[in-house]
Amino acid sequence: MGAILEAKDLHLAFKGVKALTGVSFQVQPGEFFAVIGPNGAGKTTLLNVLSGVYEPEKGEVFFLGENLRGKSPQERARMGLGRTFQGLEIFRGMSVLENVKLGAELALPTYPLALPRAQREGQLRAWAEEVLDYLHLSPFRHAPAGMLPYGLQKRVEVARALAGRPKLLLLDEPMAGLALEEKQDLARFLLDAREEWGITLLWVEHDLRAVLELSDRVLVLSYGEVLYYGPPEGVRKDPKVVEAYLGQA
Amino acid sequence: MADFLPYLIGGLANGALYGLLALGFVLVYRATSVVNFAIGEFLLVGAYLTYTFALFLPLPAAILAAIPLAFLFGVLVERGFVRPLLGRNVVAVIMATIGLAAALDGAVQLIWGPDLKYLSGSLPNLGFQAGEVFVSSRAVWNLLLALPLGLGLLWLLRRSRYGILVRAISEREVAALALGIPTARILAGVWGVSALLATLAGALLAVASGVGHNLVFFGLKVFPVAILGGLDSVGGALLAGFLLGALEALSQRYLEPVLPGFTEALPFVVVLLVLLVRPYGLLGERQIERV
Repeated sequence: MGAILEAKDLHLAFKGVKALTGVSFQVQPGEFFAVIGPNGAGKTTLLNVLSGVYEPEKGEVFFLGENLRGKSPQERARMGLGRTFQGLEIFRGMSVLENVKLGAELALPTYPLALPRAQREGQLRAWAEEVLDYLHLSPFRHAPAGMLPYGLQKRVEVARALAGRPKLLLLDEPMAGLALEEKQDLARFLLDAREEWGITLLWVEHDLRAVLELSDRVLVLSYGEVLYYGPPEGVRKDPKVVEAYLGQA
Repeated sequence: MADFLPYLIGGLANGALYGLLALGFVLVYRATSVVNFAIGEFLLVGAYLTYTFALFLPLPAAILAAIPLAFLFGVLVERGFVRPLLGRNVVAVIMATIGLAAALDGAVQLIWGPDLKYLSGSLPNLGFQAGEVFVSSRAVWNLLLALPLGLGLLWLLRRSRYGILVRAISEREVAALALGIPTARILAGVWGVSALLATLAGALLAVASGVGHNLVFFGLKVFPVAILGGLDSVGGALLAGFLLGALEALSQRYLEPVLPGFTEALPFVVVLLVLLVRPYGLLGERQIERV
């Protein structure tokens, strides 16, 4: 089986500032793929190109072998390309359960008008509860999501994305702002989700230790260019990466 | 105090229409962050549509016929004026709605002429005498239509799948996109519902006092009402509609003899006073804007 996601020579500039220059890589099914780089390296821009918020000026993205050019974020989501956001993008005014149910709608066949309403609602609810249970969020199911502590809100966002059963989940700094223990929990949830539901993971992350420990392969960006692309062991040894990124630390 | 109840009922009847109009206004504001300055013209167009249908249909049927057309009108406004400006500065969109208001004003005058028109036909008389107090047919109709419709919409927004989708888009549009929610269709629907509510308010106003350009001034009341309720609170809009309607009528009776002309300013005075105590309106959500 080929790559689940392939980026080919992506270029994007904002008012002359190059955000991505010739970025190419492949993500294999079942992989835990990391994108790292200093601030302003173009990591979030890359996620936005992959998920359809931006259209690249040049280059193509293939997902499951299909060219994504011209596909809206919604279409990509329905194809199985999920994402979470840097900072929080949960629906704060809704309960945790409502958040996750909205995510779960993607996991059910779209508009199964054939299904009776009550049955569909029952399926949604059951699946959402399963995800909540899985992420240890069940005790908070009826709490307004915005009232939870930060770490749990982050987990709600991951739960909402996982509930859609994406084939590939893009995570934008899921560990930012979490305490060490919360990071470990989240890492375990993600690894379990990959195991259990066969979800491929692509994450942008600042926590280098977590990245090198968890990821199968790593892409290092700097000023929109690929500095390194390969197994995590090589990251610390690559002189260009050391200079651009690790050297500062 | 013999006048108190009749004035209160008349005020609530007016307030019911304020509430309907403000509900649609706030719904659009919440879902799209657009302040629709053409809301008064929505009401005007709705009233004239009703008038036109009433030329050859019984009045209740005319109102029913105007409603789907109004929905379509709202959808077209969203597609034609709002959607193309998506992602632009908020001020650009506001200016566009002001321009739209002017254009609609002109179009309405061109089509229907400048003079006041009266609807042919009437709604069944539902007025009744309750002890000392006479409740007018107009009050019964306004309350009978506005209350269930307003409360029903609130319920839908809170509980139905469609309502939850609207709230999801209002709160976090990027996240809604990433969840595959068909935002474009839903937002168009929200504009449609807003136009529909304005049309119903316009039709009921027209039944009571005819159709003319002065209806736009009724539409302007939507601003104090919506701000009083809390710009982002749909329930607050309904509540504030009734409240301002009642206060206006009571002021008309009790304050006007002492302070002539005060009633005109009353809604704004009330808004100012309430905002001093509750800056987010009666039921508005407290929020801190981070810059």
